[in-house]
Amino acid sequence: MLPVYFGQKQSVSERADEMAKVLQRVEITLRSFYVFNSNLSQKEGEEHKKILFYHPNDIELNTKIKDVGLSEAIITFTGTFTSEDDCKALHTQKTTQLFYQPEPGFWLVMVLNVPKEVKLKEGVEVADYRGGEVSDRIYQAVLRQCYHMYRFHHGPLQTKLMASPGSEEAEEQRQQLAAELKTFYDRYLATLKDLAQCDIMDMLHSIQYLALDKSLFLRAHNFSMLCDTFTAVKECIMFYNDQVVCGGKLAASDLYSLHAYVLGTVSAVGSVDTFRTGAFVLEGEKPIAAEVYLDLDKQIRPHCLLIYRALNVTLCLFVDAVPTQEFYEELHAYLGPQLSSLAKDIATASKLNASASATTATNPDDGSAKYLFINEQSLKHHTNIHRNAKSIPRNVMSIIADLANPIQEISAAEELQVKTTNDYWIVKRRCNWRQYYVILSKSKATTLLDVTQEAKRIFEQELTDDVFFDK
Amino acid sequence: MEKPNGIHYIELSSNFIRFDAVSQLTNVFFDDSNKQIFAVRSGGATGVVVKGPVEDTVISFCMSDRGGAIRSIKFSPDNQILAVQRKENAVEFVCFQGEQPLLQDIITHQVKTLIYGFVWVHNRELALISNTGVEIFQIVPEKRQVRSIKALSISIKWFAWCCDANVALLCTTEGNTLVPVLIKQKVITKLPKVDLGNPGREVQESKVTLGRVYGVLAVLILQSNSTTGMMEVEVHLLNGPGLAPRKCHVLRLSLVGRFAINTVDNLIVVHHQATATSLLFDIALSGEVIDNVTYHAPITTGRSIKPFALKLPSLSPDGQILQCELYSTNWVLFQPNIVIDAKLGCMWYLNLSIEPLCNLISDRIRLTEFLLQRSSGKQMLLKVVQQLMGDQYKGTLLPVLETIFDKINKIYASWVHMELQNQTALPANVKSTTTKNTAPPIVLIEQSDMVQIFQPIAERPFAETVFMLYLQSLNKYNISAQEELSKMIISELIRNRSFDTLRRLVSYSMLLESKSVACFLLAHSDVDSAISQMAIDMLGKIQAHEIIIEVMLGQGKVIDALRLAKNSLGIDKVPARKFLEAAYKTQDDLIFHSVYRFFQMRNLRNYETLAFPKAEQCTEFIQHYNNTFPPDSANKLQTS
Repeated sequence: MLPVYFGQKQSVSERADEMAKVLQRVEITLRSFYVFNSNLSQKEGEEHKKILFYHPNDIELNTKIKDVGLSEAIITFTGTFTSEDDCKALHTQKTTQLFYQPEPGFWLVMVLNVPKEVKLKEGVEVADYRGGEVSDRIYQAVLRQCYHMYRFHHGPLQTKLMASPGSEEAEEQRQQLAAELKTFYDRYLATLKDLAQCDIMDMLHSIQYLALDKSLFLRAHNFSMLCDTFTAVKECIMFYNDQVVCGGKLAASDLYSLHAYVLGTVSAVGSVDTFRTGAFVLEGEKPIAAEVYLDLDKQIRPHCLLIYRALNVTLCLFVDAVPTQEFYEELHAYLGPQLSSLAKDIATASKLNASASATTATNPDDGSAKYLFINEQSLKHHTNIHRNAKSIPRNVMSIIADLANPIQEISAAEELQVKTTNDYWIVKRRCNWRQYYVILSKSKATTLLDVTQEAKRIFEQELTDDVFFDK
Repeated sequence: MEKPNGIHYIELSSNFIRFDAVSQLTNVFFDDSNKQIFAVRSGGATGVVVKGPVEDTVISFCMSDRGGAIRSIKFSPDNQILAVQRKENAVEFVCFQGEQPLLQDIITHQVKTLIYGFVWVHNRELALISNTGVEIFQIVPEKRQVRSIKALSISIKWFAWCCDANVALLCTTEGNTLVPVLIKQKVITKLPKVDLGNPGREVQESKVTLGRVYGVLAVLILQSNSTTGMMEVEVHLLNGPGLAPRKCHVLRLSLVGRFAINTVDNLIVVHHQATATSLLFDIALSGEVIDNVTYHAPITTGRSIKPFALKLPSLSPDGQILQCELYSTNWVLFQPNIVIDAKLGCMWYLNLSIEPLCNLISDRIRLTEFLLQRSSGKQMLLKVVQQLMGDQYKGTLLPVLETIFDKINKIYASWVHMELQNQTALPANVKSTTTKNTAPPIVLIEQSDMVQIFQPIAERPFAETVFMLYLQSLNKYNISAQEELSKMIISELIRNRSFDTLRRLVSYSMLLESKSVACFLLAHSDVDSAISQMAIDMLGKIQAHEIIIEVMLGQGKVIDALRLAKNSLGIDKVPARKFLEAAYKTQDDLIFHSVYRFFQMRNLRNYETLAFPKAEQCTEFIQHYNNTFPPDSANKLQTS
């Protein structure tokens, strides 16, 4: 990764800042988001053609062209120093730009307004841009997910532009793709999670698996044998509320996209009562039969997604084509009783779990130590950090994001202790493809020894589920 | 009639017994207690030939015809006393020395009652059943005495005897009740009477059969259904409190005519003479239940016994072959499974031929239930399951397989549980009273058997699903997976790249946790680093730290290994040379430096010097350290 810094990097001393009174704080926001492919405009005067999508739409075309041009320039410029798709992020005083090239030639760029604090300094309002609080890696991941979500619904971009360049057909396809991107991203960006809330979990794309006991797990797992019973069903994924019960053989990114999609869809369709005995999730009058693209057997192919729900269990079935009414009925007859009985048993079991863990739940804003454990292999995490509650300052979260190891890296033991400017301590350990973080807030530990002791105590207290020799 | 090449599920045994056929001179008797057949020529004067229970066991002797036709003749269990009844009120006892009778020492025991029959209950004890009751006598050959030991007084119309259970069923003159009586050495126990429903009901002797089914004595009564007129068999099992008989089952024959009943391998076989077919019933299978009585239909439609060709002794080399007449009027059946053709002079045992029968039961689950109760069912059942997973595999059969696995494992689990109890529950000084209950189940299919039949389907697309179903079934009955099965599951999951499932199986400890399985995982760690993590997790669970250290050293993670060695072995026991060597091999100066410094600090603490003890043989590494980090350069660093 090569961050390129333009303009002024924050040089004002932090202490002087703290003296000034903060009048207002503006969190990170999305400034613009665009998709382009330079190969689409070879001639001068056709620059607008390379822009496949630009958000916000209601600005002058010239500005769009300029923005895209600048991005192209930076990418090319960076490319002279390193390989072609190595341009990841650009920091300016007021913005952070993130670049992502998911398919050859196609670039996604996300421009963020960095958080700013308006301060009163000697009677004058001064904007203080906090670019350092923006973690590249977190927002890289957000950008990547923008692409994966599109691919999940519409398939790879490349396949939309198959006609030979320059032909009329190619232009038609370009327009079609642009229209498709517009419909998709207008909706997607409108429902995008508040960027200020994005954290390490968004970065890791981690999904929580439901902890079940052995026999329930096997029952749930073996439910997927319905793929053998109904050969039309290619894959079958089970969720319980927002947790994954069985992920089948889906690639992690597909599973994450599916998870996001299903949560959005299912939560919109009403109460559990509708699904007491199991039913297909409807879209209007008809059961949902969405076309989605999955990376199965190293091939991205469209599948038809059916969503069946019984109580809190959501079953996602992937079939080859939109099924007939008889097939729905046949499936319903098979699934209804079995899935609702399974759902009841899971509910009973997870209630027991919940009541057991409720005693250890802590108040989100107290000063107690926070911890975060991540298994790099399963992406399972275990934490007492309440998401979306500001229990952890942005800068601490950014440091964790920077410390977190990319998943595919060779695992070596690490032990790190970081002290932040606002008196937080972060203790990181890494072993056997697992990362452990303990975040200690200001009050307690002050010396390295204290911090080590306190972190050790928490590791020993909380690391009960993962068996590991070096606690 | 059946075609000769039709399917037959019952056959006559090939180890039959030939004897002299009934004629004007020869009388034939059969003792079902000793399974001996007596061919008596001229009342014994010209010879008695006793054969059984197999063809080779022959006793032959002569005895004088003492007038009066022989009514019954039976050896004591040790073949040392022969009891012969020639008159209706007397029994003679002939003592034997070796295989020859001592004809001068015949003891005649005379009674005042009408003897219906007698049975040996012990080598020297005999029970006489007469019209006034049951009496046990002891025979004392040395004193030529017969002593009465025990008597039960009851007026009897007829009786039936079951030698396996030592139970006589008495039909009383008063009220026509059927009273089972347990007759053992010196003991006569009257059991609760058979409930015939209607108090005035009279049961004929020919309609009653005693047999043992699944270890329980059964009184089988043939009778016609009051509404349809079709014949039925009432099965009264002596399994109530105090061995009280209870009417538990009714076998619907849906035929009329003459019947005879045998039991083969816990199946009730009802022969029908008119159609020359035999119906099979298994009371362990489910049926229609009305008022706590289960009504059974035959397992499959009636079929005839397999035709039997008897090779007659002949001088010509190809011999003469006689097709035996089946269901002949000359047939006499004895319990449990004996067929005697007195005219032909042949005695057979009835056997079940299980393979053809399997083809007649199309419901695989019912077939599994059936085979699990058959003494020869194991191989057949394994074959059936193998076929289901092999040639006949269809996705829709998975629920069937699931049910079959459950049925197999239910029995397997009870056996495992029982064995475990026997191993743990008995302190050495306590008399083992429970051991007698530990007969293995009729069909016991263990994990190792299943692994055998799983082997051929490995690497087929559906293998993972099938194995996981089996694992689920094992888990349902609290049986843990053994090494072979664990490895097979691991192989399939890795082949299908189902790492998530594998990870969860390992974390739930559903696979065997052993060094061998962990090393098996390690061997596949090049496929995905996830496997390496699982292997180390498993080793961690079983505290196999030495292996983890070796693995980490092998992966070049010297620091990780050192940290673990320090924690698990204790700082004093960490071998310096081994770690220095591994650190040296990484060719990473930083790692080497760290490891070297670690041991220097250890030296300082233990020996109060930085130097390594000679015994650790670290000279080459000391040299390497000094070359890589010369002392003067360190000084320079410090000063600069």
